[in-house]
Amino acid sequence: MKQMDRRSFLKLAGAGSAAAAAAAAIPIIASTTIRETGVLRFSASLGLPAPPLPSYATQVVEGSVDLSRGTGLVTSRVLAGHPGATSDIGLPGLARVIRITDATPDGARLRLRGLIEDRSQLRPGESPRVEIIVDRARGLLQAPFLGRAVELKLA
Amino acid sequence: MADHLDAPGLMSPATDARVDITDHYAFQKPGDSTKTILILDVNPVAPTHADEFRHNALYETLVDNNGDARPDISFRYRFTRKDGGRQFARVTRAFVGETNLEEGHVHEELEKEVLVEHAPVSFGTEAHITRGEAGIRFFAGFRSDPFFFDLLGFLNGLQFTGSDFFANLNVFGIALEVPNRLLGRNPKIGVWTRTLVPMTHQPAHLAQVDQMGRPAINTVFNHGSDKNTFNVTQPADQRTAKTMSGQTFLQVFTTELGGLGAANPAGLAAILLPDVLTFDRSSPAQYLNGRRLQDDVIDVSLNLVTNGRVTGDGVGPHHDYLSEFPYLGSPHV
Repeated sequence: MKQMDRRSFLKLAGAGSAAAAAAAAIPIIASTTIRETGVLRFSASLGLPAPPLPSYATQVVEGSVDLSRGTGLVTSRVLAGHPGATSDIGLPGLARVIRITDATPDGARLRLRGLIEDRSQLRPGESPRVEIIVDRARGLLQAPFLGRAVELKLA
Repeated sequence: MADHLDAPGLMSPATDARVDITDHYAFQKPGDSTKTILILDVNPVAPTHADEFRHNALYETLVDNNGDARPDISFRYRFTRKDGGRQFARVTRAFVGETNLEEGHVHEELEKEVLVEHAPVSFGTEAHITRGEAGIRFFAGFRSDPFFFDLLGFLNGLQFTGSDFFANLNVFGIALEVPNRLLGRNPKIGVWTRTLVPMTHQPAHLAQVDQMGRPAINTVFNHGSDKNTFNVTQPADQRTAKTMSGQTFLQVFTTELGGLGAANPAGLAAILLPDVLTFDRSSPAQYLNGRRLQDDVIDVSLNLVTNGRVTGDGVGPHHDYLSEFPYLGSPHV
């Protein structure tokens, strides 16, 4: 696992000195939330199927990553309902819990690597190894859906 | 996703799968052309979200006898509160041709006929059938979801793999076998279903929360909050009702169909709206004439809306349909 120092992660997340100065508060910095402790939190969504088809469901990827340790937890779910009006009903067989094992800056992006430890969540042929890219500059998060990388919009 | 999970209630804190219509079928009884089978399924992925019918809801199958997309006859299903693992149904028939069903009042005084009374809901694998007068048969309960579709392929941008997402899912089904005369004199009818629940601040009145005529209409063609608007817009008003964009649903459907490559988008949109399942009960039903459990409505729809560019999802009917009433297969347990 590649370690990331605190300075790097703040720069990457765009928090800078503002985040460091906000002691008790949880500053919301555009698409991500960063606690003073150095934890990156994010939530991103994508309507499914993707445009131009009308979306029927929404893939939601949410996570919390300790950038200094390169560890964290990310969930990926597909909820009934289009983006902005999602229900709390998840479509069966599409939820994944990903344990983040590595967080590496990649230019302006953050590359997360992780593992789906509960193999019962996997579909035939689906890899337990997952790569997620947080791209704050574009407001996008890249994550897998049914074996291919899709781009979700950071909330 | 014929109509699964499109109800406005599913998006609110009052999430209620019990009144989420998943499918609707109307077909000539196999081997007996004098009777019709009407099926209304609710509660997707049952019993994950609910294991009962909602006791204060109204479940309804509406019949249009004269082609004006306004209901003339209503079959109404009500349920008692589930108590001690038991629940009972009451089925009535009402003549609703003179009423305005949008006003939030269902006019119980019009329910002149009680077709079935105190019919037990089936929660196990055995289907308990209740017989009414004049050859009426009724079933309500936990069943295998008859719908078949590669949902994941659809979500993945129409990249179908032939995997049936619904193969092992269940619903709560309502099945009614009626002599054709109860559907009116005209053999050519329009049929649709809806569910209503008490209004939050006026519980004596009911508000419509879901509606379905043909499969995969609201779920496929409407965007965003337009899905909710469509669910509460009476079929007769669906062509001219406005969407959030200011366009009518007819215009939106025409645009959507054009984008999908349909040969005659405007003509096809005018067929899909109003969202009523047309059914000539004098002929053996086959979608688009009525709908049987085994009709591959997705393949038909994909062919139509893409002008043959996409011919199907590679998924066929389930093998658990029953050969006799209530036709819905035993639940997966």
